[in-house]
Amino acid sequence: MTQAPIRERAVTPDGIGESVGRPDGVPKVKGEFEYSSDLHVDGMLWGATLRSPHPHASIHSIDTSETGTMTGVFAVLTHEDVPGRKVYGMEIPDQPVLAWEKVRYQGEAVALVAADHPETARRALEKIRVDYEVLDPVTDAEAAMAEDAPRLHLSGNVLRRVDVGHGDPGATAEVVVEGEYEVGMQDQAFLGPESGLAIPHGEGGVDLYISTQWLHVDQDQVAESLGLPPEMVRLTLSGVGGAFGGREDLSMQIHACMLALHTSRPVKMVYGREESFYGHVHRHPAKMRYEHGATRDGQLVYVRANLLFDGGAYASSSNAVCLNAATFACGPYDVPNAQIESHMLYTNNPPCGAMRGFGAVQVCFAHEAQMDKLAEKLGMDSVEIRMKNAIEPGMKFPFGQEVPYPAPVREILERVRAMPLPQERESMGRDLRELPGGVSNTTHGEGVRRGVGYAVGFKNIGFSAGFDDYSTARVSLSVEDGKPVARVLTAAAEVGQGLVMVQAQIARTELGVENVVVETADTRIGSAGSTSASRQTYVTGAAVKEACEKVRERVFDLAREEFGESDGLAIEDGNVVSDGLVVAPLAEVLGDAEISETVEFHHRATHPLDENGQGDAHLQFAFAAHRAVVEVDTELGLARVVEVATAQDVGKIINPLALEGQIEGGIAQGLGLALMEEIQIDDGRIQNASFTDYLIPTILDMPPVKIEILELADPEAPYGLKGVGEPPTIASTPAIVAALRDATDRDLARIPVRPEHIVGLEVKP
Amino acid sequence: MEFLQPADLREVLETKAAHPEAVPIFGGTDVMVDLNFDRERPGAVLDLTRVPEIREWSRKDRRLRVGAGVTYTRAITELGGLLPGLAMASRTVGSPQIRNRGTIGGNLGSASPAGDALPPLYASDAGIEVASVRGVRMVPVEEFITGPRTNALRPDELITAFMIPEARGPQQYAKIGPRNAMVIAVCSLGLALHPESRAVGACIGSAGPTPIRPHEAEGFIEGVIEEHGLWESRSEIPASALERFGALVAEAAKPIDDVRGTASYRRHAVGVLARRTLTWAWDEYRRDAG
Amino acid sequence: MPGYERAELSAELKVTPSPEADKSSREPSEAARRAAGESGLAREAGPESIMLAGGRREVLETVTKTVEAALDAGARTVEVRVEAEGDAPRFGNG
Repeated sequence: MTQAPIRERAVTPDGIGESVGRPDGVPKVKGEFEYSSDLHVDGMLWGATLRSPHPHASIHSIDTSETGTMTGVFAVLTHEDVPGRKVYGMEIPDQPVLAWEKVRYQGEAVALVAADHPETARRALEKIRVDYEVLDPVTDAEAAMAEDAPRLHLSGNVLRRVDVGHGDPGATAEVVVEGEYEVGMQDQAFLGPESGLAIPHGEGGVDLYISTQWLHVDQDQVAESLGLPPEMVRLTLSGVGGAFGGREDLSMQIHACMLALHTSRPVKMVYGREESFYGHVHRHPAKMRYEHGATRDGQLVYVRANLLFDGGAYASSSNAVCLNAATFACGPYDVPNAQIESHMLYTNNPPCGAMRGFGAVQVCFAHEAQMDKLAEKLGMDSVEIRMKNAIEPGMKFPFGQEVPYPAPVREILERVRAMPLPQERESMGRDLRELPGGVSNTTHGEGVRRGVGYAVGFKNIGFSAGFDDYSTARVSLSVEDGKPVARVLTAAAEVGQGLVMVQAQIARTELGVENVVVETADTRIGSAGSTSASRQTYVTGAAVKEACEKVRERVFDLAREEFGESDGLAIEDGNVVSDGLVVAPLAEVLGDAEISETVEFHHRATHPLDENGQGDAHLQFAFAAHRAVVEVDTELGLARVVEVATAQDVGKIINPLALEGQIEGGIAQGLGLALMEEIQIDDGRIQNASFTDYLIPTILDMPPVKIEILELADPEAPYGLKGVGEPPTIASTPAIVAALRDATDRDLARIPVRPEHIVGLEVKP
Repeated sequence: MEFLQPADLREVLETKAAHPEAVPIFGGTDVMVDLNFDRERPGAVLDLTRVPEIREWSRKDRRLRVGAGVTYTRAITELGGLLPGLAMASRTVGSPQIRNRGTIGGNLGSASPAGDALPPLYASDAGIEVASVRGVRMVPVEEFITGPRTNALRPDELITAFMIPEARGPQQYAKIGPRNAMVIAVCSLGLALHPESRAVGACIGSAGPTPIRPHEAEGFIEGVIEEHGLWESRSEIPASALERFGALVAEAAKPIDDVRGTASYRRHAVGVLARRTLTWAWDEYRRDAG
Repeated sequence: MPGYERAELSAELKVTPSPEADKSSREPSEAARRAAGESGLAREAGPESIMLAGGRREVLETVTKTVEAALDAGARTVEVRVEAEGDAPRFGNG
């Protein structure tokens, strides 16, 4: 079906392109929104999880005899009580629902309790006796590769390896720069802890109200481990307090359902903040060795990279992260010769998996540092060298895929460079809040130097590498109380990003109706795929749009039947019109009819990489460039980001305010990784499982953001749009670090950058 | 868990004597965290919020008696002019919500070396008023804090107040954190000039098992000021002396590596902070003359 | 984004030792684990269970090798459950 150009549509109030407000905005601000942790039904029990205190141990026995007799305790379950498959996992089912003879990370689930009070449940956990034999942990990816490393899984410690070979492996160049870069383990740090409520539905199955990113992948895994057919496990999305990738893997889903089915009572589980750090996967720590070769005038000749990722104890989505990193390792540049090795290892660290940026974040930090290094060595401007090497539509990525239109790398770099820099002011005597350290009063201007840094990054939108990625939407149109009302049902998870508005906006635009109800997502309808990979506006948006189009066609059929009109039918302002003249009010055309259409939208097929790492692996690419201005107290190593400017191509703006929110939020997360966010691990143990010591940026750390948006329509995508959620997180981090380097003349090869790095004190690894 | 809520000072002391295991609570910003993290499960909690002697502060003969239950917010708004160093430190504590609830007595009770209120108390030789049914005793703050998270309280005693002279000279507080708000000190420094007693008080926070008075550094800089007659002339302190002061403060620190920072960085940073805060305080002292 | 790199095929093998054997004997299970482990596709899936995940042909070949190893070591029964993840209707071509 041919897509009519957008500007020829009648403008629908609160349709696409408008800053439609969040329906849940006011309740959230007032504390009235019901998150999954607020769920309650009378008579419910509280579930709790016994976790391994050791990063690596054998379990000789689990003794629950003392617990079972406690008053108020209704169930104590171990691996023996898992009715179905005893392992789960999205890519490879390798993670025990409950450990049986081995634990492979600190915090691994070992046993469950259900009690009539959360405190009773916690006390009951203390009575479970687990006889552990503590084993030496494998504490990083390099150690895991060693010949004599303990084998953590039957087939050893290599979880995945992806090689990309492109051009001449022996290419040489006039100018060579090398670097080793390291990224610490970032956490999604969503504010709503893992939580949900499982209610037995009386026919042997269970209803689960849950915070998740993908209802159907949860349903499939839960059903498998419960030994039930999927239709016996019905999931309904509950209020989600942020996700960022951290809710893709299961946490308490199977556990709560097991306890509910075992006790025949509703069971609620809510992780505490500390437990949450053990209850979800994190961003992969990475060590990356790079070599870039270029001509004397700055044209890239080759890139060689060795990427080493710590996958932690279980697979999660590490396979895909490993592949993503390999395909994005060279950055959005024209690289004629590339040799990339991407390694993913099992260790006894917490499992790592999806987080905003998904493999593109780590390599962007490294390739952008390399581009700056190259520019410096050549005496070139850091933006010039990027523009000189920018990829363009029609070129090939090193993984063999043709660069599709649009790929405006040069344009976004030009845009950020052209934005006026914030005025440089005398540092002495400023308001403390405008200085590094803020009101902590560490400088009155002494030692403060400014730096400016640029970076550009890109990310695949949607699922890749041959995965059949689709979404299902049902749109119904009928008259309620005399007015036409559209209802939209999908299983797509609203996790705070604003999909509820987007779905309604699309329905308003396509159906010309004011009243749109977006129903609570659940598994009554087919999968919508995951709320991740910046894909929902594209994929679920397209499903909703197509369903609306089908509904609209049926409205026109009705109009033709009833009124005999056939030319240029459209719905505008609640009327069916023919060539601009009103035929009849939509409500009259509909009468008592309910028109309902369900659509499954599958995006264009992608393909796996071949053994040389070549293939049309990705659906869509989104690009963003960032410029960071920082001020650094060079003597104390404290930094303040003064401003971040960004240019991003989004194809088509669906909701300007929500877009701004995604961009600012993404930059905040990128700033966090640059300056403070790291789960610190010592010998396999998390040292900072709290928001006291896992620091995320506050409003006083977050600078003003200048945004320029490009709307270059992707001819394949609905409305020409591109996913927007991840690109802001990718290049913002390297831009900030580049600015720190500019201010301090230090290498800063590891993120997050700590004050001791900036002042150049010796740091333990 | 028992919740004890006496109405006045006599009753509160009797209750504490009868329930020495009871954990005192005022703002709850430390106690509730311990409970939530399941680090502590006290049999009883003793609420102090109803006791006026703990809640209020008073001023007499240029000395202040500040109830242990005075919050950081009140230290900023009510005591900012009299105890500027304490007010500056209070501004760096947590978020507005935490400052509204958290109390200076809580910092003394928790005795964390990172307690922001402690260096200003050390730098002005505060005394801690400790009470029990057996009577009231006054303990210098430096003796009150005995180690990381330990203090000189006996089981039947409560911290009721601290006594501190009002500022007669400039005071400063500076704190290092990896973000610009809501952060626990990586290290900090409190400094107070006492022109009337011709003394310089300094205290290192969060770079040792307790806050640390760098006595050698204090003695050194007092000597330089005397030698050059700077209390009277209000001339600049020579840059070399400021450097040396910073170096001596850094030497006095006893930092460790931990999740918030490395020992070497802490030592370096307290030296820088010492030099800077002394410079700022002395500049203010010089301006005050004009 | 999650695992779009889903294994094409997975197979779960459960080894039951011969009833005559000493109940504590884990030789059949150990033999199966060794054989499966060599393939690069194997993870544990329960006290006596092995999960193979990967490409269709490699998984099926490893199933054969693993079953043989278990039988040779005295196993009486090996339960095998093969699932084609890619074709699962919830994610696949539905």
